[in-house]
Amino acid sequence: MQNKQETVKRLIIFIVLAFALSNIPMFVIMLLGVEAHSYLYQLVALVTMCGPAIASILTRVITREGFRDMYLRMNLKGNVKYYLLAVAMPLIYGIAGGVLCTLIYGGFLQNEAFEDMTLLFYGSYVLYIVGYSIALFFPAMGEELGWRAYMTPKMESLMGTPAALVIGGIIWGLWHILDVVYSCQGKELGYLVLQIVLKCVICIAMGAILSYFTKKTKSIYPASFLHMINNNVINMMYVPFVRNETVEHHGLAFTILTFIPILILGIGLMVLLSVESRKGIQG
Amino acid sequence: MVGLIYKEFVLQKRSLVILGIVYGLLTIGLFLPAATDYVDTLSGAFDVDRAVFIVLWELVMVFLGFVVITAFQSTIFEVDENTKWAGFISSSPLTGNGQVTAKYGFVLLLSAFVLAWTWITQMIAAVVFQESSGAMDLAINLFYLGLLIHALEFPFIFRFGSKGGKLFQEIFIPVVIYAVMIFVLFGDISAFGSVNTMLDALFRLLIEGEGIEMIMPIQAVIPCVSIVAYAVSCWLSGKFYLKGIETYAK
Repeated sequence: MQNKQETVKRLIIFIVLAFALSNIPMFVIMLLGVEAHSYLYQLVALVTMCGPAIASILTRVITREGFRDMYLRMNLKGNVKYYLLAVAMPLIYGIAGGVLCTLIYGGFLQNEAFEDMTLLFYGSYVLYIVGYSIALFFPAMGEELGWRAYMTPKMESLMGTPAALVIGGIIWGLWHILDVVYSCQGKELGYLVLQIVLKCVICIAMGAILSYFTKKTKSIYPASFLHMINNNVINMMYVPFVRNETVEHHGLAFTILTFIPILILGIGLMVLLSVESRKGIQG
Repeated sequence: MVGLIYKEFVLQKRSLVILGIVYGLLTIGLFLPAATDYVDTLSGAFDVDRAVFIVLWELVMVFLGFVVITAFQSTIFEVDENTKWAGFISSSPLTGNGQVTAKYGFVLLLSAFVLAWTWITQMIAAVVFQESSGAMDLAINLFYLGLLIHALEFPFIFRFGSKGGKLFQEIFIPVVIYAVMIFVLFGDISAFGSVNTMLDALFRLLIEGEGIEMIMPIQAVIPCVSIVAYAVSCWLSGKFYLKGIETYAK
């Protein structure tokens, strides 16, 4: 009972700190009227990604928890396959989402971008960005250190794996709220609410995928690589499969279609993690 | 393993402090033109465009950083070249492989830290100058190129000791320089034009992305090759470590 109360207290402190450290700077630049995707916005977004990591460290210090189980070791032995899979994963579900869009809307290799670009250049560029993301993975590590290495294991100990992944995903989704508000400036309230709901749904699925890699390797690095590659590459992955006008005219449907492979994968891995966790408890 | 990497930080404390000072100076150097409000004056004095001046300035900073870190990383082996330490670590549960992996890990950590530092300063520079440069692409390429150079160099150091291993640098670098010189003297360099044309092409590439389609496939391959080479090199060095001990001075 004492342990549970302590865990709840730590979780509350962590969540409050993570939201404050990341969203206050974002809110300030919003008030200052800084344009989305300006240099300053990019810099602040980069810093805010480290908010959950700082929050987890501060919580450990405040509650005198210590610095065990931070998942900072690479644990490469026997886990290289997970590292490779983590790097390939965004490319796999990106292509799957693109294929779904092509099947419905057509337009394979008909994007305007391909008027000035060869397929070789496009492929090279995607690979280069993957290399870029691996080298500069630390902002994603900032998030993983907080969400996957700190919050998820604590929530699992309180409510079991499936509930922890769902509620953790919603919290993670809501943490992005100002980012969503920024991207929805000038749109209706209903659209904003829908985007927030979609963000939470995708965060539940992505959270399950990232938790899978973190749990399998007991390391935050594969999830950090996956997270960073996903952030930098995912929109690029759909370029060969759809025309620009498809994205403009069917924005919401396009978004939902591209989410489907991630949702399937996320639900699959969530079930797998739940079964393994139940077996672990029974064993 | 973590303990061995920690040991590297402790042993290299003085060098790391010097490195920190050098990078601090490089960072100050990066923002000096903005702080003194001399970007326009300096670019005017050198008769170059403002954007070109900033790119050039940032390239120099990135390249200096790369040279300093690469030179430093090659010197971290000498402190452990002692038969007693080598015998001790080889007979410990970590074995010689642990020692080798710790060195590779330390170098990787240091390179990643420098890259992260460069990235942050470049982003701040973009905010300060209101001008984004292609210097970060160069930094990424240099990061992977640095790994590739170490991947080629370290197995020699582990097999023949740091003195013997330096032969790699002493042979490889002059070979590359001579090859370039021979090409410049006797090869067909008409495609490059004059030095000014080459610099123009470089700036157009970095600022406007002109000609990027020729470089992109190479840029895409370098990270894959470097990562694989670094892993293979680490494995090879592990194999060479015990034989290398025989070359150490008693």
